[in-house]
Formats: sequence, C-alpha cells, structure tokens
Amino acid sequence: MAGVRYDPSLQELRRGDRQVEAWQAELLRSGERIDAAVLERLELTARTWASRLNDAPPPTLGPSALSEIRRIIIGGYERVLDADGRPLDVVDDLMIRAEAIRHVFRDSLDADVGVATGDAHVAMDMLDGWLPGVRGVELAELLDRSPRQVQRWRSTGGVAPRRLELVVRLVALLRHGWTPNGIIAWFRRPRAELGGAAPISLLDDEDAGHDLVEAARRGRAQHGS
Amino acid sequence: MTGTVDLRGRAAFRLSNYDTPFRARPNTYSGRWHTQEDGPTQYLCLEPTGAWTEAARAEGLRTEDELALLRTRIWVVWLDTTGLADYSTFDAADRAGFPPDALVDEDHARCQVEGARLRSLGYSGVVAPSAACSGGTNVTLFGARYLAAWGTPARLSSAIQGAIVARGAPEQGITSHVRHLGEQHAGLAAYRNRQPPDAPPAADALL
Repeated sequence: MAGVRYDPSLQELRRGDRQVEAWQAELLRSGERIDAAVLERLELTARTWASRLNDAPPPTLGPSALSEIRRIIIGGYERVLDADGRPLDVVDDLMIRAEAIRHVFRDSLDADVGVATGDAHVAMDMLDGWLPGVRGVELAELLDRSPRQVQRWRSTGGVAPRRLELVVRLVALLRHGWTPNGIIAWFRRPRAELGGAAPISLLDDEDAGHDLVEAARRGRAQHGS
Repeated sequence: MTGTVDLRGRAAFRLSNYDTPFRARPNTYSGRWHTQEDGPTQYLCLEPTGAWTEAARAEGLRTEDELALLRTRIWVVWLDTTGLADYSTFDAADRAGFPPDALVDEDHARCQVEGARLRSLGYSGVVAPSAACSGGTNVTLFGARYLAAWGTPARLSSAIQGAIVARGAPEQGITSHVRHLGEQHAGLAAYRNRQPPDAPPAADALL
C-alpha cells in the first residue's frame, strides 16, 4: 500500500504491546527465583506504568481501555504487596494481568486501521490490498456505488463516505478469518445477532455500526455454542 | 453429586484467529457455560473436527464451498487439568441430576446457572457433549489462561502449552457433522431413544 502513512499513535501502541511481551518474558525468567528484590522491581514497574498512563496515555486507547488497564495494574500492585510466600502464584497472577493488558492493546490495534480512512484514496488502497481477486462489481455493490465511482476514488481520492470507512473497519477485522471472497460472502449472509439481517443491508444504518463491528469481531474466536 | 474428569495429558483444539488461543480478560459475549459477569472462560473441543464444526455452526456455513472460504487458525493445546465437572455424556449429566437436554439446548440459561454453581464449588470447568457436533465432546475451562510455548514445562498453573496446527479451511466432509442452529441434536435423540418409555400414570392418578 504505497503512499499510506501510518498513524504514529498506533506505532506507540505496538511499542507498548512489545514492552508487555518483554516484561512477561522477564517475569517467566524470574520464576521460582522470585524474592523480595524481584517483588520490589515488579512493584516499581507497576507504579511506572500507572504513572505513564496517567501522564501520557496513547491517544489510540479509548477511555474505557485506559480505565481497564489501570484497574489491572492497580490489582497487580496490590497482589505484589500482599505476596504471601507463594511466589509462583504471584508470578502466575502477574502473567495473567500482563496478558490481559496485551489483549487490550491488541483489541485497540485491531479496531484502528492506523490511517485516516476519511480519505477515499487511502481507504480504497487498503481495500484493494486486502481483497485481491474480488471483482470490481462486487466491491462496488458492497460500497453501494457504481464501479466508475469506485475507480474515481482510486485515482483521485476525495472525502470517503461513512459507508466506505465502515467497510474498511470491518474488512480489517474480517481478513483475519476469511479469504477475500469469504469476506464478501460474510456481508451477504444473514446473522442471528443482527436480528437475521445480512450485514450489507445495515451498512447505511447509523445505529448499526457498533453491532456490525462486534459481529465481525465475534468470528475471530470460538465461543461456547 | 457431580463427578469429575481428569484431563491430564490430553490434547484439545480451539479456533482462534488471535495470536493466542486463550482469554485473559472476561469474554465479550456470554456463552453456554458463562455470562459476561463470570470472568474469562475458555471453550475447547477434544476432537479436531469439533473446532471446525463450531465455526460452521456459529457462522451458518452449510456447504463445502462456504467452508472453503474460511482462513482460520486451529490451535492444539496440551491439557494438564483435573477437577472438571463430568457431564461428558447425557447419562453422566442425568446421573448428576442435571437435565441432559440442557447440555445442547439452544437456550444457554440452564447451563449458565449450572456453570456459576460449579465455579462456586471450585470445579475447574466442564466436560460436556458438543452442541455443534453430535458425538463430539467439548471442554470448558473456568478462569484466565495464557499460552506457553509447546514443549515448555508449564510450572505456572494458568499456563497451557499450545501451538497452531491448521491454517485455512477444513478438509471436505465436515458439513455432515455439523448441527446447525435450530436443528435436532442426533446424540440427544439417540440418548432419548435408549430411555425406557415414561411409566404409565398410576391408576389412582387417573381418578
């Protein structure tokens, strides 16, 4: 996708994600050798993270994600302070907390495609990259525009309509579980959680955006059926 | 009294298109054995086919051509788990006093209440017939877990070894195993057919 400039705040989020992974590896290495000095270092790490989140939260993280991370860190800080002589349990608890934070980062990364999709040229660049082999008429039907208009977006850009932006967000999630033609078929298949409607029929419904994103996300992992 | 199952040294399978098969945060949606208030819950299948049938049922994929459009990841995980509630067959559930039909009912309410009860009693999860695949068995683990690399001895209680074993779409032939939403569960029907017919009402009840 030449010419697409990625959002720096997203890069910051990716850095945070990698930092958590590095911290998990350190935690595992400490393992059974965990002692007062290690606990002190863990406590300091938790305080540093909490302080950094307060002072300079990554802009891509929404208020609920930030609040969730703070809760996880504070709980971990208290767990370290209350360490009761079972070091492996403390390490296990902290590993789960670090993993939970990593999942908050991951979900934020998934939900944000990292570029300004309000630019139709950029949005089409992304869709073309993710949907190779999909016929122009099918993409035009998905976007509810003529193939000629879609081609104009590719060549000259312009302001992306809401439907195009929403399709980009949905395809960004769906590409993890479907082939390009599978993505197009997903939009046409009725879904129980959407009241039996096919996603394509709700793309212009301003109230349905959140439900559509959740439906796209839902297929990424097995649920208890 | 609900018995327990020991699944130490057993492989299980799960579909997840993330970089881990496990949840460390509460599930976004309620499921058969949990509500959103219950904390993280992990759903696994004991047979590799099970994970594909779960995807087919959840997404309403009815033909081989539709299944071929999947590009998903199937994980294998190595269980080292004891203390799982034994509802592994309809008989086992019946013996424990849990209604067998609830195990595969489209309405999850009875299983969710039972899941909360089992959690409160300290069970680590449930083994039960798969609702998506007649003849299949599912394992549900209560609580958060995280992935340990395959071959790494798991010293921490929430770590489970796992690895990706398949990417893409299933082999042909899965569709015949899938029980879609609203369809009869063949395993439950067979179980019911084996039950003695209801005893006729006592004579005095007819008066």
